[in-house]
Amino acid sequence: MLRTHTIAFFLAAVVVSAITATQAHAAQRTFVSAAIGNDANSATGCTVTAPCRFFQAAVAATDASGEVIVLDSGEYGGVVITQSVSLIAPTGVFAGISISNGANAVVIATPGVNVILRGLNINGGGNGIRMVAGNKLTVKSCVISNMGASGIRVTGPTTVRVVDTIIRDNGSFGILLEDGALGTITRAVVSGSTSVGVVARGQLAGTMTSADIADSVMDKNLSGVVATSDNATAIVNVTIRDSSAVGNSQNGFAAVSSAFGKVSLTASNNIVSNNGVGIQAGFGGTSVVASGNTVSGNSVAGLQNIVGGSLGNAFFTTGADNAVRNNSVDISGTVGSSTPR
Amino acid sequence: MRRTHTSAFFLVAAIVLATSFATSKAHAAQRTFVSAATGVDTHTTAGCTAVAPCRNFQAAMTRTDPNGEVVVLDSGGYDAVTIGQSVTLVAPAGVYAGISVLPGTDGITIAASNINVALRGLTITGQGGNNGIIMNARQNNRLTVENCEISNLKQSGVQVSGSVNVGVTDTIIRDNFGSGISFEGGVSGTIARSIISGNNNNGIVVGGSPVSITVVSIADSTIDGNGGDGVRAASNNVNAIAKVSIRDSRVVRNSGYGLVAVYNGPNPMVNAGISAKLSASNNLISKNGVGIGALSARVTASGNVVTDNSSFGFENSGIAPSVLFESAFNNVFQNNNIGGIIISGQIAFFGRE
Repeated sequence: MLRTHTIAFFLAAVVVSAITATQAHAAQRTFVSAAIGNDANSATGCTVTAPCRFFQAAVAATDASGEVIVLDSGEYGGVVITQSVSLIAPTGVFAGISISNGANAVVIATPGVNVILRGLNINGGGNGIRMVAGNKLTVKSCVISNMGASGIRVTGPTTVRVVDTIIRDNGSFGILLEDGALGTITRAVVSGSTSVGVVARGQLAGTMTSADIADSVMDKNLSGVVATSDNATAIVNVTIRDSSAVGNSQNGFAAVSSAFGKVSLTASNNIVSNNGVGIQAGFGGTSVVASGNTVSGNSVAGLQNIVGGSLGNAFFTTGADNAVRNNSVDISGTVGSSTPR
Repeated sequence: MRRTHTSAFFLVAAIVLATSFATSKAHAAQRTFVSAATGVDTHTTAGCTAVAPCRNFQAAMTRTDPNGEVVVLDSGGYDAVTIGQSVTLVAPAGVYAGISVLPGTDGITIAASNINVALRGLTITGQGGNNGIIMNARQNNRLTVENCEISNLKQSGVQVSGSVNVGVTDTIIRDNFGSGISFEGGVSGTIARSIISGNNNNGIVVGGSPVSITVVSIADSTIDGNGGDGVRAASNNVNAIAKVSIRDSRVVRNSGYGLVAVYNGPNPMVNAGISAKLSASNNLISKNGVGIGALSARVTASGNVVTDNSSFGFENSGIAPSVLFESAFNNVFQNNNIGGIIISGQIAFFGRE
């Protein structure tokens, strides 16, 4: 748009758009530009014709639940978000955030806020997205890579949606949901994490943490997906369907309870191949259900229920319809099958 | 956007920008920019910034930090490139970044070990050139190919060998004269949501002759109309492991096998089934020569729909000491080798796991 106009027409267009855009929706929608933005324009509301330069200044000039729109490709800086807001780079625009000093790139620490991130490329820093308070986080069509810590880390009772997003080569977890975070992950690629790809972790008493994963790929992490509780009243529930957990050096999927907290993991119609253990259940309080999965080529075991000793044994049941083949050991420990019905 | 402004407006923009330049300078080398409209490679002296972009990837990379990004600002032709550092080359959706591959050359060559390269949104088209992306005989590399289209190469779309990690996502690899993707000699590969179509040789070939373990997982992809096999895991040496797993994909209209694992090395009575392995679950496998084949190799098939293949649905052949083709009792066959044999060779059925 606007790219081959004559000056005269361009100026006319500026005038028209300034009137229509700034009068009705001045603070509902603000704009940032790497090409012409200047944070001093926050005084006039970071409009489409006088955009701000970085997200932080534009968010401050945006109404609660408003939108910050990226106008052109460039770097937009880390941001601490203290209100409900959407940060949006439309397709066709590259919006990068890189933090050189190891700090977190996007920080959300305000109770009650709803934050939407769309089309951002977060590359380098501490955590890519760090949420310690808030109501909802939506991450759509983002790339989060090469972080020193985790791609996304959310702590506390929040709703998290991750859609169409690539999270790769991060120094800790790909996605870490803990102590009450409820995550839905759809069409994600979580790859090459130094630690676990997707983990739901309960440490705080009385919390319920969950991850529901579909149509995704977790590959070349330490483990693909882990559900883990180390508190007797911290509940963790994970489901995974139509996804791949492949080439992870420890486990494809694992559910582990170390203090008798209730942990469940349901895996249906996945491929779980070429990991150490395909699907692992550990210790009392844990329940794993596996149906319709292909579990093959895992170097330690296909399905494994660890002998728990004083921690007790997990409950591991299958739908009698998995293909568990060509693992070093196909089934290790007590694995039962439910009656098809 | 804003890529062919009149010079007057560009100057105004440049003046406005001068005030904010100081803030953007802090990250100049983390992210560099190329532009077909306004880029010149002499801008390397200023760091290939968004306002003073370079013209070519090769020049911009020299100004980019390790693990930094070279961003394409506007549509046009960009240079074939040789990469020797960790870097991301990215054209955002809506921007066309075309790389033409001329005779005797490759599109993107990764020419160092121990680096992490990501390629996003590039269109690599053969104009008589050899390979679209080539990374041969490297170690400990990571290569990610996302949202790319790679076509018309004389050899392979993507050619990789060595002990490296490769991910291919949301990518189209079509109409190449060799194979679509060739992973050999130690590659750990993941292919998801991609289309591998109309290549003259195999769609995806996995294998290699030296001592190595090559493992590839494929999901949610379409592998169609290739002149050889759709997906081929091949070993000619018991120490050259080739393993493939594939789920939720369409494998249709490939001239040879839809999916096949082959061991063609010495002493198959002893070695069959050890080094070439394939698992297939929940795929649609239709209108190929043979649906799924185990040729002195091990295959596990579960939940596949296997129809209208011109020869067999399942084939277990070659020299093998025992039955190496296992079916989970939940594959569906129909209309294979119409009026003739549906399954060739011994297939072991299993269930209840």
